[in-house]
Amino acid sequence: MSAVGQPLARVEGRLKVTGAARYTADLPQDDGKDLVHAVAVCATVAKGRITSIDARQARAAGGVLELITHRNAPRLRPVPAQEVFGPAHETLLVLQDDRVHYSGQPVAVVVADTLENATHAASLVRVEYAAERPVATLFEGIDDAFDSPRHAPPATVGDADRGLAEAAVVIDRTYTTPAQHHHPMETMATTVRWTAEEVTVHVSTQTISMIRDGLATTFGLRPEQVRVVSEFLGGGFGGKGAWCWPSVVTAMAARLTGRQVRLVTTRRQMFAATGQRPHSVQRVRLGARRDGVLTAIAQDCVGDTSAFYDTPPFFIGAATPVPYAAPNIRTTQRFVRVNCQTPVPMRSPVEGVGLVSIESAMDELAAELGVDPLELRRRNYAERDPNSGLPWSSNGLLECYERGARRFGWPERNPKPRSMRDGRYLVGWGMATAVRHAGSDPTSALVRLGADGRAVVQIGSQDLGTGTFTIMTQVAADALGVPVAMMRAELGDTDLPNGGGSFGSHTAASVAAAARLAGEALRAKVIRIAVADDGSPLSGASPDDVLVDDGYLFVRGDRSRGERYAQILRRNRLQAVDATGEHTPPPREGATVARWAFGADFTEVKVDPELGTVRVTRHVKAIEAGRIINPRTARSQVIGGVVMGIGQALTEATEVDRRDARITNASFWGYHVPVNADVPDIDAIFVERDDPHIPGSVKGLGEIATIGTAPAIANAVFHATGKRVRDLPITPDKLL
Amino acid sequence: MRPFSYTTVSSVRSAVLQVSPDPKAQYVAGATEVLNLVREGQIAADRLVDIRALPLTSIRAGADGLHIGALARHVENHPVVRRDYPVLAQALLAGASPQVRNMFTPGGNLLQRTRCSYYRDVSFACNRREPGSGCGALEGNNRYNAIFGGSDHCIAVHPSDLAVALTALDAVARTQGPAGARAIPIEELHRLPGEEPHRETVLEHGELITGIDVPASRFAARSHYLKIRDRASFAFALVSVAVAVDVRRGVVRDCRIALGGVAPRPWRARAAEAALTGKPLNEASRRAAGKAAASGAVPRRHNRFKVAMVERAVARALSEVED
Repeated sequence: MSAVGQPLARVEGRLKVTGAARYTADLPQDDGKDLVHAVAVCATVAKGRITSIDARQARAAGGVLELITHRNAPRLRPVPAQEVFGPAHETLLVLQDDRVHYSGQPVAVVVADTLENATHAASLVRVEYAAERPVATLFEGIDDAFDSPRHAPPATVGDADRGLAEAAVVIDRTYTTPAQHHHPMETMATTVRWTAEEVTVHVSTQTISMIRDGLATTFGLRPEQVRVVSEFLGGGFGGKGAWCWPSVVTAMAARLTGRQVRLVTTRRQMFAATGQRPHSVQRVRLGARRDGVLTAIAQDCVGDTSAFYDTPPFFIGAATPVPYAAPNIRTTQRFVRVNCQTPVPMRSPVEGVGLVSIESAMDELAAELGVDPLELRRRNYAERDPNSGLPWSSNGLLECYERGARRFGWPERNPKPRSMRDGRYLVGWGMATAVRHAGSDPTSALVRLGADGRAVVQIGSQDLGTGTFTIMTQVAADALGVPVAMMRAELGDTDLPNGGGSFGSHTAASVAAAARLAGEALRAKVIRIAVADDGSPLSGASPDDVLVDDGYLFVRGDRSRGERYAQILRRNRLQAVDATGEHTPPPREGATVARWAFGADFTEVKVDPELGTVRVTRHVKAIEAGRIINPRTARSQVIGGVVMGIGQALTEATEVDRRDARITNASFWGYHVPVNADVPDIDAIFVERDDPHIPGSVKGLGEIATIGTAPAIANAVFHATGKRVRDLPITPDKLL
Repeated sequence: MRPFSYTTVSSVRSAVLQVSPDPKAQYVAGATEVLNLVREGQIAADRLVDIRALPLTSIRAGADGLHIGALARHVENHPVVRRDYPVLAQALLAGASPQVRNMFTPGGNLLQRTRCSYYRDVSFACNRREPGSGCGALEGNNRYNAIFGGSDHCIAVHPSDLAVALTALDAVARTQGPAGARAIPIEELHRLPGEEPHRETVLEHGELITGIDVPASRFAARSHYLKIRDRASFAFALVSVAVAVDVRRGVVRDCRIALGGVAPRPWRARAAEAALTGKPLNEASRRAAGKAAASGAVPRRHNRFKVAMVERAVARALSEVED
């Protein structure tokens, strides 16, 4: 029986629920006796110069071993500016000079024998600044917004201005989305040991290879001198995908002290350690005929970027030309330099932000025309990718609409706002389309089979907590032809075959493709040994005629002529046999098809019209992401994605004091992620498709799981109340 | 974190003797609040005196009312509290998650510090935390801050839900200090900031809350707590309302209306009580009480919504105690 497609429980689940799984902050690298602790002192101004650092009290405090500032920090080599997913994302070299670019930037690091001593000493460091007036938000700097000349101009379809001029109806609206922080449960943790031979780094990261290459570059090492390990992750959502200062300053501390140093950022520091989802203003104009068929989409965005970052920020409108078949589409983005940490991807940097305005505007157009919002989207279904003009590699969007609507009961919807009630509550139903580019990264895998018949699959990837260990096991077991109980997965170590980053919804596709190739290569290798082995029942058979089932190899048509893997290895005195697989993604240049995942969100909210409180009471999400490797972990991922979308719609925003560019809600009581009471029953539907252009038909789920949820909720709030809130999140004050 | 010593005490007398003479000593019970404050540096305690072993855990219900020990556990589950003082049980349930409720104590809850952003992040200016340093909230992100009772020096909001309910029940804190025992109405326990926001309560240093008395009343049984917040649970109030009414023959003879999330202490809405008293409880009187409750508000740039929210919350809470 094939393991792929089965709802296998997480293979590491038992370790996690019993506490036996050791996360990075739990892990000293040996017996722990050598371990010391680092705590960062962070800037309390957002722009300016450090004029003095008085560390006398801190140095005199108990247990202090080292105090690092820009005066004594190791000099770092500049990291070449790269694209956002390049090996090193943050180009700021921390502790190199007296400049402060954002509040929360590290200005000193204290190393002490215990965490308590290091924390206390850090609180005694007195830093004086010559503060300058910062740009606090993109609104303060909007007059200086600039085009990013280093960014490829976004695709333009037809002539949007002409399309708007020809439209019978034009919707022209401006939406804002706030800065948000990722807030994985596990904060950033790093432990570094620096010896003459090797630098060993345990770090909570979505990309071990990026940390390796980034540290090697900044400290002038060869990549093979750096080993990076990240076995278990407590979430990331993009925040652990970037190169950021905690790993750099921990490495500095380890080098200076010669000790094994651990640094765990506090929750408050998480608001400046990893970057954030950018703040954006999105003006959308939709032109349509009376029947709802779009004649034009024009989207003009302004997003913030940091004051020090010299790599092109990502372009939130990049997917705007994808969902609908408009003949004329244009999308632009300008940037404002703000004294904030550099924006980084957060559970789709593109679709998760830029489609909020498109999906909200589509709902406004539907209301304006008196057309059902779902019907409006059907009428604008794109038979080909409007952006590239290419055919879809596969597209289950219409079936997502149909099955999602049926499960939800969408046809029962009364189109009139404020028409549906449940006692004192107004009931609203809203929906949205979701799309997400389906890609993968170059990935290598190794599968090794032992003489006991047990096998291991190794990939230098990471498991964010989403199930990578489990799907690797399933795919490799099928490819080799053994039960999942005989296959074990290893990941999260740069000593393993190279894997890509766990971001961009790429992990499942990349890991599955490489694991399958390696497993199949190993199977073929053992079959070749067997057919050439006089002692084997398979001797002389054509390799193509040998089948494998449950670890048993036999000749097609004669199940009695066969033997088990273990027997072959033992007879040939082989301790183990291994094989590798290399997945190379199809190049984006010269593509003949457009590869996307699709989805549709249907949601119900209940609004207390007097008090302004909104509760999501039901949510149905239908997703076409090719073939689902594991419906159990996949469903879990969709639930998490919808919860994150509820936060984006209703509760989450990073608040900045516009006088000094400092975050004022840097805590879990101030920054509201949804709690259990905010989360309704969530129904995930998988519309499965074979995709001949994608290995294993795996499109990835991580981001499509949350894209579409926030605009669907905002649309439902409008349907409930008749009030359109165009500034997320929709907190009670905005509905009073 | 700042090093501190830790001792336990077994009698109220020795507790007071240990803390009173030492300005850097601080009581701790459930530690759901004090430990955070010590860690983050809002309070500079050199010595924590743990009072959890004190015999202050009883809950007694009698004809004269309710006597709640300062360390009583799970008051919200007490059958008499649930039946005769529903506003109290509801406020406790709305006040914290089960995990926090397993640890916290009623006495400590009354003395929790404001959740004003500028107080909680020690790198901001805050007159309450550091006298004379300024107030970041006045012109800053003051969406959560006070619309009543603030001053030019501080517009912090007291975060306790329990204190709001107790204020609506005319409850009194019993204390033991170096100068002896006294009783302080909950409504008067917290000072308004005026020019000295750092003087947060009327308690002397070392004065320990030993219990809370809730007098028997004709309005306690018909009471309700409503809390409006940014998410469904585990968030501090934007606005909360405790109402208690004595309605006889269709007319409100007596009532209490107290507000949370809007002032540096639980805020008695006396104008609303006056507007309601003598009236039948109906939509018109509820609306009028709401209007009266919001009168005199001094909103700031980001919290103007609280004025309308108070009006509606009071009316809504009253509708919950209507027949």
